[in-house]
Amino acid sequence: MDDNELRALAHRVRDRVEGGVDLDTDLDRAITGSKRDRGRNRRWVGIGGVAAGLVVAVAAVSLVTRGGGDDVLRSSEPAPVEESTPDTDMSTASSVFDETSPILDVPGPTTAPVATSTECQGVSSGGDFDTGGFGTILAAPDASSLTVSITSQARGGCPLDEVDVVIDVTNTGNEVVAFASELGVLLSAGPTKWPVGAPEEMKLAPSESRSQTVSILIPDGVAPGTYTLLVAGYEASTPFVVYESTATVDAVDTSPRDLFETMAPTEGAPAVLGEIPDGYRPVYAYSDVTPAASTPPSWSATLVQNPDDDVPIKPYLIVQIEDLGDADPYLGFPGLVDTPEVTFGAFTGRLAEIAPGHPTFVVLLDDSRRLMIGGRTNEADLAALADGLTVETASVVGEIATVPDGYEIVDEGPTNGRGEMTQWNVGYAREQLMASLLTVRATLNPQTAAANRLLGPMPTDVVDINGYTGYLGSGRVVFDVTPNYQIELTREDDFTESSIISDEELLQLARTIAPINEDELDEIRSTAANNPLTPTDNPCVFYIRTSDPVATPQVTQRADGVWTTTTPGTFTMDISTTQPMDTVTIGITSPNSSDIIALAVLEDLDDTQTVQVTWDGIANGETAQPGDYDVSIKATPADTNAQSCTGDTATSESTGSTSIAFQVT
Amino acid sequence: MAAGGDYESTFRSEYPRLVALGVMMSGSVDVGHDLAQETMARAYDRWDQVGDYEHLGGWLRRVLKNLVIDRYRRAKREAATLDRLDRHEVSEDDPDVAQWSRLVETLPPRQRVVITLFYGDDLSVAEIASVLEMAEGTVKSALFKARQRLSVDLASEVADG
Repeated sequence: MDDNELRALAHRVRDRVEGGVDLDTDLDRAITGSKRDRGRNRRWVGIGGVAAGLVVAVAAVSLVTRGGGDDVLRSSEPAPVEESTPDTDMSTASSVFDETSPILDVPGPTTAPVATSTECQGVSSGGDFDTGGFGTILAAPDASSLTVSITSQARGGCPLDEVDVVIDVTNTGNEVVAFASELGVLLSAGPTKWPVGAPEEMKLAPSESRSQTVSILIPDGVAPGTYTLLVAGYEASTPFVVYESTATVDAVDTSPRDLFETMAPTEGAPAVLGEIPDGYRPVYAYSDVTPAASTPPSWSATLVQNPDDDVPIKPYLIVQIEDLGDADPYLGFPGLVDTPEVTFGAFTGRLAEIAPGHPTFVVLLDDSRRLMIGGRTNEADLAALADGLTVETASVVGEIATVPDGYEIVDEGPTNGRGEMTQWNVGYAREQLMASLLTVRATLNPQTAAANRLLGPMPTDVVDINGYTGYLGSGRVVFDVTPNYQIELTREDDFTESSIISDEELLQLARTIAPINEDELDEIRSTAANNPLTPTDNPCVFYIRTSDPVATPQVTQRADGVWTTTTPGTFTMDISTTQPMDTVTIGITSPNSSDIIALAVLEDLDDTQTVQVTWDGIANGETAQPGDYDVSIKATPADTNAQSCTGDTATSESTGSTSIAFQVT
Repeated sequence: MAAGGDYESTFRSEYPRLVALGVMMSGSVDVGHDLAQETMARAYDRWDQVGDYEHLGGWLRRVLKNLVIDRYRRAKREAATLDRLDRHEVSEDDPDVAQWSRLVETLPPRQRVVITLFYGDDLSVAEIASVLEMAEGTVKSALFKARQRLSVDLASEVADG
């Protein structure tokens, strides 16, 4: 069958089906069906959710908690799994929001089956975003001669509604000032969300006032909640933040399983959680920010063969074009310059074999630009890809006009210039088993696309995560929700044993992911602090605790609460246990691997002992790569009788632990 | 693709095509009808928001696509439904419908969606990319692959679409 025949067949099928439609009957059914289904799939699940066999550790779930009415379900309370009608929630939302001002209420359900126009109209009750509710969080530069105010006639809306906000700007100085504003929504302690498009610049003469109306499109799929408005102004080329509301996200619908099928996690709900296996508990939760990387310009594309097939990883190709500047053009390929040249398509370069079955074609495009095509592939596919590839003159941008047979482009675009990266991490474990540790991580502005995270000589599977292409290997599964939003689930290895989490369990968890917000993350953090993971690798609730760390050089505390000192350095700390230990090994783990370096061993530990741990920053005879190396502890109980783990002594103390790390700079 | 208006007129103009696309994407007459029904029910539920969309047709196709993929995923988890989806249960007295169903049943859901919009809805690659919120390169890749599986003559350039 050729192309024309296929199109003709499609048209015949289309025309025949269209001709058989009973419009009047089906119109009635559609309208009836919409009413019948309203409220379906809407469930509220709270922390410690009671679904048998499942613990969904999320926090506040009843819509709207501002104002703190008694009828509001608090996040610390167990929330029943129940059917909730949107209409009831909406009325609560409206009454609360009538008493508040600088907030954007998104009352509508997050998915189409439960959103009705009636519900949403009832909440958009009007009111002003007056500037009295905003505080200046970062003053304009001293030279600024602008005053800015923000007003709006709407304070609420449904997903896909547009909310107009008026920004009034006055130039109080004596010179012409260029000003552009951008309005977005800020989540508490998070980066700006929902940008509303390119800012529109205005020039103001001395004493001139101008108004600018900016529309916020409330994204489809955003969770119900209360969101903070943020206005960022750009005066000339200097960005500065002008106003931020004091409101924060209050609540979010976190129905986990049904929602994810129709509503992907979004940048509006930064952290994610899934159905955690029975018996697991949160052991940490934190967010952190990594500054923008200053990497040289580069572009890459990743192609995978038959990515939609649920079979183990198949051949893949990665194309990368980079500007090396003055660096060695064969950086990373020692000796390659002495090998014969080969020509694929329009490119002449050299072939390297980075691992068996993983050839790489390296081409020096000019004095600074380098092209690399490689992967788990063969020379024929390298040649086929090179044949269909063009590279823009004097840039690092490529265009793949044709792909080798069977391959599909799964990622393509610039790999540098990504902005500040923010991550939200939630860890789960069972008992005190390090080998049970699961980490769920959401990343905004990931530095590397999921496709490139796990493709390499190590075995990797391409898997389906609810319609997203995921990559499973090396104890983790990674997938991109959007180019700027990535989710990763990781299982950990302990000192000597593999994780007890299987790949299949990791995948099951990934397929139940649903978004949570910062408040819920805080709740999980609190829960984790009450019963942390201080791994003894025994199925007991007792633990070993580290406390009172002091160090030379002096310790500092990271944003996630981990105490660090630089190398060479020495930690002095107390280690206590809730039951006698036979052997306690103290070591460090690399940030990029599960390798363990033992630094100290206690022959026994009965209760509390002060220990010193020194590390010179040398690992395996070489200076360790820069990064933070967490201190880990493995202990062997003196009494291995299972009964010894369950006494009162073991469970009477369950709060507090101190995490420490060495920092190699 | 129609712009917004009153619900009934939109239903009458868009629904038959959605049924056809649903049938072609799912490979099943019954499932295709169900998916189109569900799509229009969702549109009705939020008509105040979507009714004025300039590209309402694109929104409807995106919802339909999501429903197809959702259904496929559920089907993979439920053997009974899997049978229903993967054994082209076209009513299928019509030989063309049966032939189309046999063809697309070999394709993963996203390729079904893309190839249906390309051949059945006569959308260009750029239009499909816009409707599905995908990169054009991804659409091209999906088309290449689908056509390859269907043994369609690749001499006809996708980019021309």
